[in-house]
Amino acid sequence: MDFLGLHQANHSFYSRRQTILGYLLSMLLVSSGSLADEVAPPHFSLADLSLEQLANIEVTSVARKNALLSESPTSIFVITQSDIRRSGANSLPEVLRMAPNLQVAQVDAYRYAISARGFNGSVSNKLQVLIDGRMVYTPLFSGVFWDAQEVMLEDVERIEIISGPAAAIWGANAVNGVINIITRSAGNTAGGLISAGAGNMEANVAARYGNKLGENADYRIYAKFLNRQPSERADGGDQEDGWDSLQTGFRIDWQSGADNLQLQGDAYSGEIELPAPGHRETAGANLLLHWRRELGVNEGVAVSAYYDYTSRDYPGIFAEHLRSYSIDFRYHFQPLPAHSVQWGMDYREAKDSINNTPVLAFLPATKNLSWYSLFVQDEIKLSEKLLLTLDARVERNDYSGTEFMPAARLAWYIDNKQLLWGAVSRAVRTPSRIDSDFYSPGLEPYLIAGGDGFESETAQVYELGYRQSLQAVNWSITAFYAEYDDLRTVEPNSMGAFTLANGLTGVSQGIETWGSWRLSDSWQLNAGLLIQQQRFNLKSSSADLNNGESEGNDPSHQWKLRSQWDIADDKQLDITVRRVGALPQPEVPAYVAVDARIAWQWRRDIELALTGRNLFDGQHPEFGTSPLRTEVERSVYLSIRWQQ
Amino acid sequence: MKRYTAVTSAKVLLLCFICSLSWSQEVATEARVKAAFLYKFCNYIRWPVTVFPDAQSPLKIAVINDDVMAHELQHVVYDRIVAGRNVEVYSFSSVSELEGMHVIYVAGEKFMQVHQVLTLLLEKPVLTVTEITNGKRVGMINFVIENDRVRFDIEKHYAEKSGLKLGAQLLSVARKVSTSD
Repeated sequence: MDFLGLHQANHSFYSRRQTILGYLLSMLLVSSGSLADEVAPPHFSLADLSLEQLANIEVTSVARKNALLSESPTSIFVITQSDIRRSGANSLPEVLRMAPNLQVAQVDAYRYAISARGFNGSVSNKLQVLIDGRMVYTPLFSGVFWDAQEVMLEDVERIEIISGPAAAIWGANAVNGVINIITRSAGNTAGGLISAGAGNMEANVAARYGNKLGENADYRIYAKFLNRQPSERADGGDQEDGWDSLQTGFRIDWQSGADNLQLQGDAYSGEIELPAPGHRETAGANLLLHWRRELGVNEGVAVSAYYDYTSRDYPGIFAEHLRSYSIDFRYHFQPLPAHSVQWGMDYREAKDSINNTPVLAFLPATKNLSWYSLFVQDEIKLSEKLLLTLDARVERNDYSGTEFMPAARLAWYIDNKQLLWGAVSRAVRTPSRIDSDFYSPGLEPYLIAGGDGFESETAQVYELGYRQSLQAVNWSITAFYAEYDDLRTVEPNSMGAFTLANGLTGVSQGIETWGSWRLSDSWQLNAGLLIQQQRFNLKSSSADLNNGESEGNDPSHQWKLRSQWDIADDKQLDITVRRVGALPQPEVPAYVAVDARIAWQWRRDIELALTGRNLFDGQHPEFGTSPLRTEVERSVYLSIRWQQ
Repeated sequence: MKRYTAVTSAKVLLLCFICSLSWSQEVATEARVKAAFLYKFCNYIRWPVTVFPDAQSPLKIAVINDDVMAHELQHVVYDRIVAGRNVEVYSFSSVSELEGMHVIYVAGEKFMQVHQVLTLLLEKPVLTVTEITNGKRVGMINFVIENDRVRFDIEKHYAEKSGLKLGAQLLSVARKVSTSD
């Protein structure tokens, strides 16, 4: 790895960072002395959690050295299994709508635009998305094909959504956020489960079975099938984009003493309808092995490796086959009482082959990409109340060489109910195939002719957050300010065509806030609000074809209210109201959607539920250009769930 | 200028490092979860009124054999109220002076000690909590670790015999509820 090169490349950044860091640290030093003699726990009180939540805290998780989420000094929102179930959602993107710090817009029957802190688009590219540690964004465009990323929702333990950069721990591409989907260990999904449902827009059936596998191991297997009806345009025209997908998988967890071994895999195949004869096809399979060993109370080691294959065939447009391999090593220990150190390294390789068409081409059509990186994080307990986290990742990629992603984070646990934190981070969105190798049309003369020399997009992010956890009320607020540089533009070249370049800078700022209020044992209210603003400036050298407007199409605000009410021991009523502000370019009007679900535990093992979406709204668009875009319709869905 | 900043930062870092050495290790998550549970249990249990001298007298929790846990619990209950009562935490290293306690938590697996406590408190309105992994004699509530999580089993008959009432929610979260020997 070229560490010297790194030093030079980041010269200006480096010296500035040192000043900020020095300042931050000296402030700490002054304040820590006076706090030294006060006694207070350096963490939030767990006593505000419910009995169920307490019973679900992992107490020996070592791999990524999971700290308790309520204490982590980031803008993190957690969706639990109970939230997923009560939402009535049947796909990951629909589940993600619950997160106040994510923008989720349905593009058509199978595509979603999902992002954090702006920059939303159907090929948005600044999120890290992991399913049990497996990266699911594609090196084709650094974004996610959401139709190919499903899980058995009943087996999800929780989904952690971090808005803001978190590159050191989670990897490059975690520029604007991380979505971390964690499924339950096989020991926690014993027995049989069947869920099935149908409505005017979709039908789903899923089954899982789990059991013991000898003395120390457990396994589960599952299969799910889903069908989505084609979406409609405003004029009622059929988009002919209905799709269905079949997915199956397994997971084995083995525990012996201090060793934990986890082996899991999935395989899927999907078919999307087309207006023309034929259909689009997706398929894939993955296998993941995760081993961790506890070496002591505060020491542990973990190794993960996975193989992932995906293919996608859009007749007449393009077809892609992609094989990825990854291996990741992590170690954490406590070298000194006040230092909690974690470091690790990983290597990832992706080999793709693309069948180019006259419409578009990726050149070369076959490419092997590799990434290797090293990260370290030190959590320094400056006093009983102050925790300083310094971390950094160095990553080497084939396009832009070596990238450096450092961050400093300071948490002040004011008392066991309040946390005030601040962070300064540098994040990098490294180039992907589309930035450098994209040609259109697929034959000469090209109109868009690649992006030779495309550099990484960078972000310098400042965050300030506060969180309070009282008996019945929990709430959190984060303010962010981010400066982006070298964002993607389409520039005219001397040949009369266009190439991709880094001609845009931007500033994004906003506030994310959410909270929950437990009015009684049977009723909880949740609310979330996001207010944001993005401004872009073309560099003087740029003559961007899109006039600097292509990076994202974001609302200035969105809010949501969710009520979770247990009407009786065996009946639940959940109502969600959410509003998303208007999108500027292309214009999409603001909308309010009301969703409701009523569930009845008919017998100990059988639950019946009726879910309605967009109850007071015939249909509304969420993304895309009028009049050809999809409008999301009112839907009703009846489901039954049997759990042994 | 740049050099100066770098040197200063290094010094500051070093100082931070040194001053941070004196701070103790974090309490293990397991102990924290158990402490939180102990407090939460109190919210779902009804004691006979007679066990409290008056309406203001505090609810007393005794922790036997675990200072760290007692300290943690102290933090948990700090400024918290259970059914209108303050909560007080006492730490003991042996079985003594348990008179007047409402909850007794015996840490560890010293069978003789657990046996002694349970025998002493048999059919008395005191919630007994243990963390026995492989023994028959357990408290009314016994912690178990299952799939890396802290769960608990309830010996409902013991609790009932002693005059304690257990809330339905507590019973529903329990891993196992025994209603007879």
